Amino acid sequence: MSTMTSSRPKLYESQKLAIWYFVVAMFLFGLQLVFGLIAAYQQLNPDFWLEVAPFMTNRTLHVNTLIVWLLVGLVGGVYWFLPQETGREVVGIKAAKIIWWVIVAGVLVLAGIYLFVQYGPGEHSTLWLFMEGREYLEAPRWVDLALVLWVAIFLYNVIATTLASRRITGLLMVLVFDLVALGALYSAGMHYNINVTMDQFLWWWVVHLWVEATWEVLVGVLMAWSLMYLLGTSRKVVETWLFLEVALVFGTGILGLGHHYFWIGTPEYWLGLGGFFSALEPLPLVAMVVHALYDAGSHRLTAVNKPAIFWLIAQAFGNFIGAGVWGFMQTLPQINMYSHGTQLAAAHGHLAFFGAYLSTVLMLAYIVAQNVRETIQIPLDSRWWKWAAGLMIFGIVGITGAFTISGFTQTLIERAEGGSTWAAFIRTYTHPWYASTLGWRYFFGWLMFIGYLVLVYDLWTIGKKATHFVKATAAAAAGGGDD
Amino acid sequence: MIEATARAEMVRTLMALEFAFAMLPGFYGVFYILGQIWHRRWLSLVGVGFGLVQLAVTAIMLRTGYLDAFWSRWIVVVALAYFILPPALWKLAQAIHRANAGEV
Amino acid sequence: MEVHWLEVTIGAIAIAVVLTRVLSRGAGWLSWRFWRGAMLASSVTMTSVLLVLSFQTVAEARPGAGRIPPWTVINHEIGLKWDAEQQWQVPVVGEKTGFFGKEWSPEEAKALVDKGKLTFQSRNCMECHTLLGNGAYYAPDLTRAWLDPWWETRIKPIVGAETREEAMMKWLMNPPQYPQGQRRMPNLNLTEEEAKALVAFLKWMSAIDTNGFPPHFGLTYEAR
Repeated sequence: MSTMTSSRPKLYESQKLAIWYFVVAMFLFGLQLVFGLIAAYQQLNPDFWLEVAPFMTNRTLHVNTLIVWLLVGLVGGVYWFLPQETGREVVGIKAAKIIWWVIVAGVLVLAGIYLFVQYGPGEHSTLWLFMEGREYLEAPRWVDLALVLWVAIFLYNVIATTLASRRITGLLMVLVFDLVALGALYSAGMHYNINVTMDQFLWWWVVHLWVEATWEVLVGVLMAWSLMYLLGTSRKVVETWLFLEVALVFGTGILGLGHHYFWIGTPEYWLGLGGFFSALEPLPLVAMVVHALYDAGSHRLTAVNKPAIFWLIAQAFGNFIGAGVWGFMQTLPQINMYSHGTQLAAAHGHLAFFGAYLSTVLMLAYIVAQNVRETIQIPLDSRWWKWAAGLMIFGIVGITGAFTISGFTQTLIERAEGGSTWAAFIRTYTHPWYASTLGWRYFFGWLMFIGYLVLVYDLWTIGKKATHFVKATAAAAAGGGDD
Repeated sequence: MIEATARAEMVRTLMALEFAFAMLPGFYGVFYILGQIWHRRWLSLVGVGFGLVQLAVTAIMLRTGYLDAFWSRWIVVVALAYFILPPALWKLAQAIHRANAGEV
Repeated sequence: MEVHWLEVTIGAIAIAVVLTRVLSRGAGWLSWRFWRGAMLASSVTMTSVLLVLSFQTVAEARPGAGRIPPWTVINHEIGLKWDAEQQWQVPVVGEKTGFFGKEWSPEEAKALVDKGKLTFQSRNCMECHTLLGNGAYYAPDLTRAWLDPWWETRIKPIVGAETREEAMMKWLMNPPQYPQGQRRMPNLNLTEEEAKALVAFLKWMSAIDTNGFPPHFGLTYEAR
């Protein structure tokens, strides 16, 4: 198989910004793994750094870096494809660049606050300056405002560029509506409520309607662009299929929000409503697997970018298995009453984020990597992306498996038998079924981290030594050696 | 304690069944589609086999008696939806590609 | 207003289907226009239903409206009763016992629970604990923490307290002093005012009707 190279066309300013987005995303991904490893180690050795940086600090950094790097990657993907979609430079790109560096600085300051300040007195000033203390939304209010500004400028970029291009494609229409919703939903989490039930009611508007609705649709748009780029699928087809997926994702996911309203003090009808729609939420995910296989298979899996195609397929599967299967497993209220608030949620979360979002961002990163060298290597390939993928997938499967077993143990012992008391909690985490998973989880976390290091090396080097790779492959083919 | 053990039994059984219930359509979809793409009928039939196993899992869930009348009926509807999904999506994907092919 | 959720569901799906037909009339069902119509119909219908139900839920979730206790519940004894029809526990509010030796007025009680919630968030408790089952899984769920048997049987004697709330307050002000289990809660430098308020917040929360979560609280193992 021959490899072609062609000269790289000039990049739009928006695409140059996208490169920075991906660089920062990869850095934050590394931080996320480091803090995850520390938190995992603290479960093995609970006295480790208890005075300096207790579990809560490391977990906060772990989940916040996760959300930020994934969102940055997805937004970076939009900045990459938008000029190509609209045929022009992005409107307001200067403002986008300025706010980007403000955000980077803000994120670093925030990480410092999390690490070195950690908490404050029980007053509103603490919530504004240091710690808001709600899971995933721990960031203080000033960070929220900075994020709102960032999203506002991003929205301006997308909408103004779309209007300036005078051609509102189906993809752009979906993107604009989705981003407006995504941004507006964030504001639902920016309120203080004494009433914990209302607090959590609104909190889920952000969390669920982000990752089980608007983020999914954003991924859908990015996937559509990627399919056109990677496999040459026609626009009409990807748009029609995207509409179908959005119809299913919103059709099941918006009222599927009810599966978070079973136990928080909201009325009983959410048990039925939430369970009903939630059971259907895997439907669009099966559809995505089918469509990904159809597209890839009808092109005989030949593609211009091998690692990107791999992560595209991985996304379809990972999304279905992590979000669909692990979600469905605990969605019926009869079961959820026992599994709610156990590590089964962590199992689901880890595999779902990996499958749905990490895979998407890595696919995008490889597309960008292909196009930022002096020459474009086609197909993009290397020795290392498979190792990175293999290690990371093996790692996340092991982590998820460990959480599943410990979560299952909690469900059975702490909840079903133990009466959910303090005593039952301790009895459960010291139970051998639970305790034995901690070491394994830590080990698989290290596999993930090593996979990440290989990934970074690969993204840095892939496509650079194009001619060298061509010679090596040709020689191997001639000598009948293995690849 | 007998009551607690019975509850644990219910939770364990239903969760295992729910896991299978959700995983099997995935296998069904994958094998079915690959069979269609690669023109290997037996692969598609393996897929359908997974689908039939999922229907069997549904029957087992109903027989446990853990689900009340409403949920029992709903789980049957959901199972049937997942059963027709892969061939329906395959036909739909083909039809959409044909209807919109070549249009940019 | 009673919501018959199955009717709402069937209605929502029916409306979405009808709206799809309307929006994409004339378009073949495989076409781009049809699925664009389906997408719009689905999104608009489901969002509208969610908004309407949200207003209803918010009304039912006001403190004192039934499911959520009024702030003054902190003055009372709180317990759990088995509801045979629902097959789960329901909170019951009992006699007036006072809280930290006094009866709190509605304004005072609200201010105290408010301070407790602010303290809870300022110390990032959700990053180890779960609240109504949401949060992190490093430490116990706190939904019914006020009702946990260990405060009476274990903590009260160790810290030398007269009442449960006093035991909770003293323990929370320096958890590593009396560690329970391998995982230790750090000292988060709570003032006495904050600790008192935190206990009030936990007590108030334990009386929320959570449709039985966590299941069979305290029913299986006797307090040790």
